[in-house]
Amino acid sequence: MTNDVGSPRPSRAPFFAACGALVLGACSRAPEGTAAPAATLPQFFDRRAGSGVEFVHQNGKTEARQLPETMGGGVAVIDYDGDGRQDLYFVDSGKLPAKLEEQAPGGNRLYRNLGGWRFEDVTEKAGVRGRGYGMGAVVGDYDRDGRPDLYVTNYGSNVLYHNEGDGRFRDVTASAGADDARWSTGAAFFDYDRDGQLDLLVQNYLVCRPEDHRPYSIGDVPAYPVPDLFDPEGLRLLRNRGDGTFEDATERAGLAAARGKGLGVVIADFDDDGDPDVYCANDTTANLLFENEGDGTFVEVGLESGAGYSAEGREMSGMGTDAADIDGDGRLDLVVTNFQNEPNSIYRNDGGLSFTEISSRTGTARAALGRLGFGVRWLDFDLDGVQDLVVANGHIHDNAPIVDPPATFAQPPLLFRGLGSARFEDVTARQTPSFQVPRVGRGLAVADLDDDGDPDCVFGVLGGPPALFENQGGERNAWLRVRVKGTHRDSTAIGTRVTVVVGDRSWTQEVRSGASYLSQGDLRLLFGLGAATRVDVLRVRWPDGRVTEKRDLAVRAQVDAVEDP
Amino acid sequence: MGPLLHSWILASVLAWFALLPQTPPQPLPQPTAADEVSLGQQLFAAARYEEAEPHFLAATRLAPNDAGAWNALGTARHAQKRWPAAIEAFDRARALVPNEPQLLVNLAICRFELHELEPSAALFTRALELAPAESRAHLFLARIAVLLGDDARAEREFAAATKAAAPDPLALLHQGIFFLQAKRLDEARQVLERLVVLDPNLPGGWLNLGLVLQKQGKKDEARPHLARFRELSELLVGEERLRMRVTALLKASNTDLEGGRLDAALKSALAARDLAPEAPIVHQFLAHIYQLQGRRADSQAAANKAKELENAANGGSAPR
Repeated sequence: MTNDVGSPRPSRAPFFAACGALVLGACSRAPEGTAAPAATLPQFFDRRAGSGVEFVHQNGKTEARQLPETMGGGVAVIDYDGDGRQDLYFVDSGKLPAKLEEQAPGGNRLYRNLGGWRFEDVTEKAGVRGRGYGMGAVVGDYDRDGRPDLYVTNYGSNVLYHNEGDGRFRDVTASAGADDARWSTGAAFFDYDRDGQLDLLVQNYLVCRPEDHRPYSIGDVPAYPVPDLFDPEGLRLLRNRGDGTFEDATERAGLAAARGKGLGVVIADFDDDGDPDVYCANDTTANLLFENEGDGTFVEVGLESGAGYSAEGREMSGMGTDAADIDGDGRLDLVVTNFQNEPNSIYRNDGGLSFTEISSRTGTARAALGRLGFGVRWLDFDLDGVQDLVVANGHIHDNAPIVDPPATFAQPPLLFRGLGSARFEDVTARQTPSFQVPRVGRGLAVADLDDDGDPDCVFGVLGGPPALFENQGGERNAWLRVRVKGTHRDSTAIGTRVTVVVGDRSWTQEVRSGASYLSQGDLRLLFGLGAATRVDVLRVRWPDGRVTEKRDLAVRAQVDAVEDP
Repeated sequence: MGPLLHSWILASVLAWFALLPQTPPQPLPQPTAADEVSLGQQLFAAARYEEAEPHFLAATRLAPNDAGAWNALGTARHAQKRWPAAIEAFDRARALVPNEPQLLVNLAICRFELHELEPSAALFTRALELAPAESRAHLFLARIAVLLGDDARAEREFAAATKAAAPDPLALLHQGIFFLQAKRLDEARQVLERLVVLDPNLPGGWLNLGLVLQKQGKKDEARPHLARFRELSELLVGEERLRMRVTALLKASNTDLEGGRLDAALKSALAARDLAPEAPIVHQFLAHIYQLQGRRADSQAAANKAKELENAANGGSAPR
């Protein structure tokens, strides 16, 4: 049997397997499409120093090199106090427990945004230190009380924090039935059965207990074990009963059968039929796409959709994922970050839940091959109306130069500027030196932290302080920020689809919980509008299918789209 | 993918065999460079690249002017994805035979793996000047052109790479993917149908043909192709994963042995046996551990089982 790497050629000495196993990377190409040449790009400036954000992620690194030690570092953006400013929540890991069931007090930190890149540590008052070995966090108003709540995933039991509205949160995990005691990673709130109640999807990674740890080495060098050595855990779907509690609906909804080694998850209406579909980025197992049948069940269509494997048919090392319309056809395309020497997978949505893996021809692959990607977000950092891409990178092996040369443990992020027609150019080297500093990147959230209209970035860093980047110059172009507020449902209005129309162009985004890697971004939607001076139409499709519109709106402004009572 | 029988595991097992009463060892003749290359080739052919490398390295030490030995060393390193080390070996070979097209292609592939597209393209181009029919060079030049956004060049190179009556299946696969990505579905289908006939065991061919048919609205036709892909893929991945797990367990067991943790070593070795009960090595390993634990009867039983499996393997089909 031959496989993708072919067979050695007969020769005096064994010559190469015919073709490399990997789709290799693309470099930038001449600009085309709708984006204007970028003479002076907006710049990302590091704002952590002096900001008051003193958090330093602890991963409890040991010589034993247990896999969870290298996987944490999530970050969430949440306006927990409703003052309009986006606050920051960092998930700590701490010391790995001797048993999965053991949970020490956590070291998570919540920072209230005071404006002007100043933050105040309000963790103790808010009561959100967490417990156990933390991974990530997501946001959603699960009990429809108008306030965003927090769900924290752990290696071990998770935590659901109810936002009490007075600056405090309460751990309601047990009473709400929202726990998952396995190795949880990505998660997302969404209303899968469209009953107006936010449900919760939890990704779980591997069956990997601390007490079962065995030393692992690459050659003779100790290393973190590869995921292939473990069985997949699979998903959990927690259905919201509407009374503040959840029930396990995984089996009933058809999500139990297909198991992957789940890390990232992005939920969106990929086939534009009005209900949310689920895409899971899996590590060394095929990515899964669950089509929402509209009757409370899902069907897994990853293989048939073309979004399960690489173009050559290989299972990739999926880490983070995100969805956005990158070619202007109104359909939500996908990106998945992968391992070193694998490109970040970009799947073009061809409609009807049919995707084509186009990474090699997007201009992103060449740079990505030299990195191990984790957090990832589509964003329009120059607000020119074309989606760009930012990726947090960092190897899993702290001795990467030895076990995976020439890779390094800490790696610079990647920033790609969209050129239109799903083409990108790598503009990382045109960023500030501080942006290009190598870090062990994991989580990544994008939010307008200073409310100036352009997207800023927060990187969660394994075993180190996070990085906060202010976007300067993005606001030169026009923008529209849309804050969607549900009234018949969760106030966060997750799953709402918003389309902005200017002349013959339109842009579509959805309000999304989760995505990226272990992270939560700004729930407000930010549209880059280039040189536009007015917005013709703002169309909002609510999760129940109703559509409302606003017309003739000013740009460079925030619009509140509130669901009709 | 690591080989099942890592050299140090073998060494450990062989060391155990040395403890058993055997006929007095006979002095072995000193191996020649050709012997080392031959041994390395056998291991390489069994996908035991990590074990093949020391033999090729030994050959280069015995015959430092043998370009073939350096090339073989580079090949073993390439198979382990150690590109810079592979390039070092290929460069030594190239210094001895500067105009060997296959060697240039090997070097170019390493540059390609390191994402050094322009140097890689220059080497492939030089290889084609020396051997115009070198289809792999055309294939890689096509892939580089795709990465650089030059679709016209890519199309020409793919055509050159696939013009033979029986082209490299991977050239057809990448050409099919190229057409699929460009939404040229009829051409993609034509190429991929040719591919699955030429190499029905290449999973990617079935996947992409199935996806093309899906996109053409022929879902019933697509289904068996996608099912074939899944079957082949699961077979390949399953075998690979099993070998990885068994290898990791035996390595962990060995580490515990070295640390004097016999119980932990036994636990890992038993787990390996549960995964691969037909592999003689796991029983040999168990026998060794039992012996260290003073469990002579268990040790003998495990050793007997290993022998029995080895004999069965040798009496039947060739060992994997």
